[in-house]
Amino acid sequence: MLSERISKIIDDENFFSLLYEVYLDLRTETENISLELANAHNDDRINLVGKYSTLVNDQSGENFFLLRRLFDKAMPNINHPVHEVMDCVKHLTLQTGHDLFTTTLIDFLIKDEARVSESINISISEPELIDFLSPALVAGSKVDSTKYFEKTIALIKNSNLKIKNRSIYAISMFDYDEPDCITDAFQALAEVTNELYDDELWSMVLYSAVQIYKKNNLLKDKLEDLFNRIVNHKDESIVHTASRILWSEFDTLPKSLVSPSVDCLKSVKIKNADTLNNIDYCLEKLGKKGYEYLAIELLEEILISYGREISINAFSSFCSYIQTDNDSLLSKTITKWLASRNLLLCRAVMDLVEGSHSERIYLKADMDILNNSDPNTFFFVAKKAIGWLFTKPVSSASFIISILDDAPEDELPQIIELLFHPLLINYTGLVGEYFKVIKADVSESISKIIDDLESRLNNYHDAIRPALDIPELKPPQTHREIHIKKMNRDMSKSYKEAQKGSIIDLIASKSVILYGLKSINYIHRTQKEKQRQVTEMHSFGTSIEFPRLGYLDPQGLDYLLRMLRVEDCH
Amino acid sequence: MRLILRQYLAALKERDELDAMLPDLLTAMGLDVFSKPGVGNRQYGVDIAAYGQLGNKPEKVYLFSVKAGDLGRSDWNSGSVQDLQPSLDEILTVYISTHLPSEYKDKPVEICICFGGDIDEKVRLNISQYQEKNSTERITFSEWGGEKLSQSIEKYMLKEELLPKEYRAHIRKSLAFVDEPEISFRHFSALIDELFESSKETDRKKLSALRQLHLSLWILYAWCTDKENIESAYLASECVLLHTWEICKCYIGKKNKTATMIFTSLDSIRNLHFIISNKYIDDFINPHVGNLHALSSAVNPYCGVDTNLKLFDILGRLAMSGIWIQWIIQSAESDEVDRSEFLKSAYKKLYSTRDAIKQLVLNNPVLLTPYKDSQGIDIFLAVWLLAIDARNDESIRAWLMQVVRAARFSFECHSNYPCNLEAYYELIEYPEEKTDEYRKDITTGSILYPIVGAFAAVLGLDDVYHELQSFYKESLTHCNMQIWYPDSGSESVYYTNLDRHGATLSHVALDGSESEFLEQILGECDHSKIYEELSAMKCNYWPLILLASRHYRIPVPFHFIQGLRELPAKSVDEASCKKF
Repeated sequence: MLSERISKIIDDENFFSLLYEVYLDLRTETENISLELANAHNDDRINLVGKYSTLVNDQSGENFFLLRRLFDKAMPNINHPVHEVMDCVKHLTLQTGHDLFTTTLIDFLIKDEARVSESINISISEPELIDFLSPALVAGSKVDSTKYFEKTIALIKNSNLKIKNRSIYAISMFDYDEPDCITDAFQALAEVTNELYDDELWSMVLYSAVQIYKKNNLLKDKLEDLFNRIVNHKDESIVHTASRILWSEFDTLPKSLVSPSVDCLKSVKIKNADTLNNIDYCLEKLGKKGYEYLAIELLEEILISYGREISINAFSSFCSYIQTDNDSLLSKTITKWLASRNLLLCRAVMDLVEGSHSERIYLKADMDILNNSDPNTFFFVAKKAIGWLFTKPVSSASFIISILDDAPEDELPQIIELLFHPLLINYTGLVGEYFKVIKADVSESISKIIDDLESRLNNYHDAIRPALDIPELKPPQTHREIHIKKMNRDMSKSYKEAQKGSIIDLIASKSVILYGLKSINYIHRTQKEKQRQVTEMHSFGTSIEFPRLGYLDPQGLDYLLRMLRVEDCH
Repeated sequence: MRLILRQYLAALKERDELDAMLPDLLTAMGLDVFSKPGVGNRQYGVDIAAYGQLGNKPEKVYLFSVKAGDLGRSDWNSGSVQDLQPSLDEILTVYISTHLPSEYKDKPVEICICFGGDIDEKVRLNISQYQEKNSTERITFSEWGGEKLSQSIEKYMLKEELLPKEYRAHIRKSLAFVDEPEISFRHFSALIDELFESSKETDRKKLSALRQLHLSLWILYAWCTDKENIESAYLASECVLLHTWEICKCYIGKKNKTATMIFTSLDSIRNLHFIISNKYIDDFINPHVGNLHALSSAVNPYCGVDTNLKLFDILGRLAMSGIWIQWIIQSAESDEVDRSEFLKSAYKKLYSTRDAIKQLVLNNPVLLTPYKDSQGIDIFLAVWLLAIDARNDESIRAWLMQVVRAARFSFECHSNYPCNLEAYYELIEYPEEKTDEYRKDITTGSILYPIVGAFAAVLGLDDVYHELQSFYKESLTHCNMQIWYPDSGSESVYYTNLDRHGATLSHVALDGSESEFLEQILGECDHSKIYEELSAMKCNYWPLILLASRHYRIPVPFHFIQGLRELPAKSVDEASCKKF
């Protein structure tokens, strides 16, 4: 049956479409389809390699990856010239932009040692196929480990950097049954670093050394020596590889190498998004593994080095970790950074808190840091907390409340004043509500402070209230209308902007219901059978509290906040 | 229209409203009003006294006891000194025998019970009995209720229909929209324009137009009071007063009956403007100036622009009210009659207005950050009023310094710096771009900075001047610093704003010393003698110049600053008043 279907389609000009249909019909029999294709190829009924050399990933019709998967599974079973297979694999790989290494190619090569030799020769002699050297050597090691280990060691000593590079990579993939081979491999790697310096080559050595150590950790000293020597060179490839190792091999890596790795990562370049991405995972890993101080140190270094070019939100995994899983680290970080007098770190506090998905993030200062700081630090951090966290008033208020009990007496009145103006006066709702919530749980002295603040706020409002119903002072209706029009326009624009790339748009078509609260649809099950479905619609909404002075004295508020932010900072 | 008049009369309050309007009516009816109401001088039951002939009746003394609204049982004799019966008793027992001017001692007297609304039947019996008991051959009684007053207004004040048909639509629309002051004022402005246009031909038409304007303004004010929103009346009163001056000014120096009546109308309209302005300031502004953010919150703003525009508007109005007090003091001081008590109270009011301005600025920090360059006009009015008294120099210094610093800060941050945009729809969008080019585009010229510089230089506020100068040199050299002066074409349109007028001194240099700066701007004042020829200046009605600046948003002539420079360094009001 399958054989017949394959036979029917192999000469069809729509071969891939039909093959895809076969796959859809028999998706549980992928292995059999591939085997049938290999048989047809071996019987000369089809040139599978030739066919697949024309397959393109145009993302329009058949699923390219599923079709390629059929080829991957067929490849080890086909008889075909090695060069053409390599060309085909290269073509298919370029269609997706992924690495050339494929286990299926290795499986194809190990069927016959001649294929291994040929592929090694082709890779070495044809620069455009050099990337096949690593899988060819790995395939060779599976055929004859000693022979191809020696071959690889020899190639590592080759003067061609690309050949060296691919060989170094290959050696990390070998199965080391013999401890001596590991020593030799390390020796070969060490010799590379003794011969010459090349950023990419050394980063490959770094990677391979860790991979080999992972297989047998007897050579810890040698690894440490090699590792430290390499990470001292902080070029882009080395930093990238170090970030990959620290993140993915953290548990394997000797602890003595954590700190040198972190030092190396401090030299990351802002343009290397992948490295920054790895560093994000490293930070999280460091935090979780008890190296919080190193994580913060690394983060500070990067934030200070690149200033406004980078936001802490680029390290989203670490931010999420610190925001949700580690109150103590959050407190320490925020307190340290607000007290640092460094604008970039203060800005990072803002980004960190604003980036939180949680609506209200409660903060607590780390009193050890404050108690060991210069005089006036309490008032200083209170100013910074308001300046930088003004848009998260509850976070700002909670941070300040947490320092009140320990604040020196001479600073206390100024700190309390800040709580009133600009915080409470602007966010009567959010901060007022927060005060009510915490009042029962705070010390008596703080409770008294809150009472006084509430009373002051009441007096402030009592004085304002009689002025609120004076029609003469209201803006003209035309101004109201113009403003509402502008708001509607802005809102509509934002809504459209927010909808761009929405998952809803991707998975469903959009229909607009003009009237009513329910939507009636019929689902056609068969030609005769249909089901009536009524979907209830729900309204959704959100509200935010806008700071009062944003309307009453916007420039004054802006000026005050900027002053609170930058005063006495560098 | 009769109905409107009835409602209008019924809504008038006794003090400053019904009794303020009544003398105008009596004069129009041909009576000679010899006693007018004034605060604290109600004389033995008599609010207004007049003499003359009404219709076919013999010449009589008419003594009015005025009550607001309907006359009810509680108004007759409930123990209050304001009650009607005690007032009538006083008229009978004291006023007629001791206070009538000697020439009227033997004349018949008609005691007029005046009220804006209707008479309650429950009290009619009391009144009838009282009249019957106290009527003599010489003394009679009459009732002047809302119906009679409205008839008289129609009959005597205008001698024809209250307003010609074509104008009635404007007043009706204006009244209908008092809840939307902008629209209401737009319709009233149309009425002013048409009445003004109609006044151009004859003396009679001029007088008629003034009376129609006066009455229309009264009606609008009453309607506004009833609807509890006098904004439209406030704007209308400014506009009416300015147009009134335009009508009156051709009678300057004339002493005939028409001129007298014309200037009587001017006084009435000015007094009505004071009534409205005082109500605005005393009821809505002064009680709240001392409370932080109270007036800013009162705006109920949708955005910061709302607060900004309204607060500078309030500032200008408050300053104008103080400027009029300054003028009243000056006028009173030039009287030969001893008015020391009046002056004492006026000075008190002047000082409290200046304090109110300082409090307004202090408690509404939006006044440190003008958005529109033209808000320099309001700043001018307020600073000028404060600057007359050298004791306010420090407050002015602090304020102007903050204005300059805030403008500089906003300019540097591409925030809401003072700009040339005027339309609300533009202001709520600005700054649209944070680019140097855009910033230059909307700050191409300024009257604000020269105003600040001029006050700083005149008052010796060196630090303010230097801060401004530094800002100018660093960021504003592209901006055409300019000062406006009236020219020969100004007089004809100053009070009506029918056309652009005046001349501008361009590219005023702010990079020199204070004295060099002053030399430029005040030197030009010396060349611009036309200012002194402006009718309002010649007739010592100079607040009208400032009022025109506020109302029509034209810059204030710098000649006012020239006056400040000539004052002794530490002047006080008594000396300064004589200058203006």
